[in-house]
Amino acid sequence: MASILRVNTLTDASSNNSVPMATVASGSVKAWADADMTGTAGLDDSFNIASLTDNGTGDFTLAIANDMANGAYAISFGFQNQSSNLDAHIRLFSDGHKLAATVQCQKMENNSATDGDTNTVMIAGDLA
Amino acid sequence: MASQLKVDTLTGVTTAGSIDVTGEGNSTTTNLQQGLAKAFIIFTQAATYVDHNSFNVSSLGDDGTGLTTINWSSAFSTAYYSSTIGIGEFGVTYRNIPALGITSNSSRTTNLLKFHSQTTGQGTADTPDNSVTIHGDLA
Repeated sequence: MASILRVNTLTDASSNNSVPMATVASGSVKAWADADMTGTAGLDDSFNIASLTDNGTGDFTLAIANDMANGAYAISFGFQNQSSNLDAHIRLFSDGHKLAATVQCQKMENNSATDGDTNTVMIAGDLA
Repeated sequence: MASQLKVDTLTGVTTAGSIDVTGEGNSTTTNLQQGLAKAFIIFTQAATYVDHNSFNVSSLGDDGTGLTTINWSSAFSTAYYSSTIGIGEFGVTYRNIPALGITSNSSRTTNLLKFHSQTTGQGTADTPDNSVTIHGDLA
């Protein structure tokens, strides 16, 4: 049977390692994704991501399943290089593309948009 | 009334590995297990590696200049997990860029992640204060 526990603080049985529920809620990542943009673009795995849209080379939009409260959330990235010693990174597509329901990202290598097979994204912040 | 739950292990009732937490908006729920980081590490690449702090990391492997293997204590269910990365400063002349290995899909498995520290104009380089955080599904 499903149940709801209403509590302010979690503590281990030895009364150590206390964590307020507010920290559990705010400190938990609200969405993450592992996207493959090579070939037919898709999500290898994800949490709270409804879909991925391929907007062109290196350019993709993630639709967040349960929306964030607004666009003021933290986002961080990881990627795998397609070849060695490249100047590579993932970035927000441009200002105004980090919204409550979607975020648009771009993978760059040597100043050119590039499709990569491992593009990872994590979102922390407040849910709507 | 303030309350405190003393417990060593939290387990879902319907599904052992799934517990919902009410979000900041007081209506939407988020999944506790999916939101928790499953591993993190802050380390320095050098002649002798330094693991400054870590969770769910069993060991570091030196694969050469700027190249590190991070071995997980508890394996992941698949090789597809979210890995975000940071890097320290190598030198003010260069831009430092971390990456999740190079090219090969073998750079990330259920048991390990290969970390690649690169600097523009200098190729791979040993760098300080490298950080990795992992979200995904444990085995």
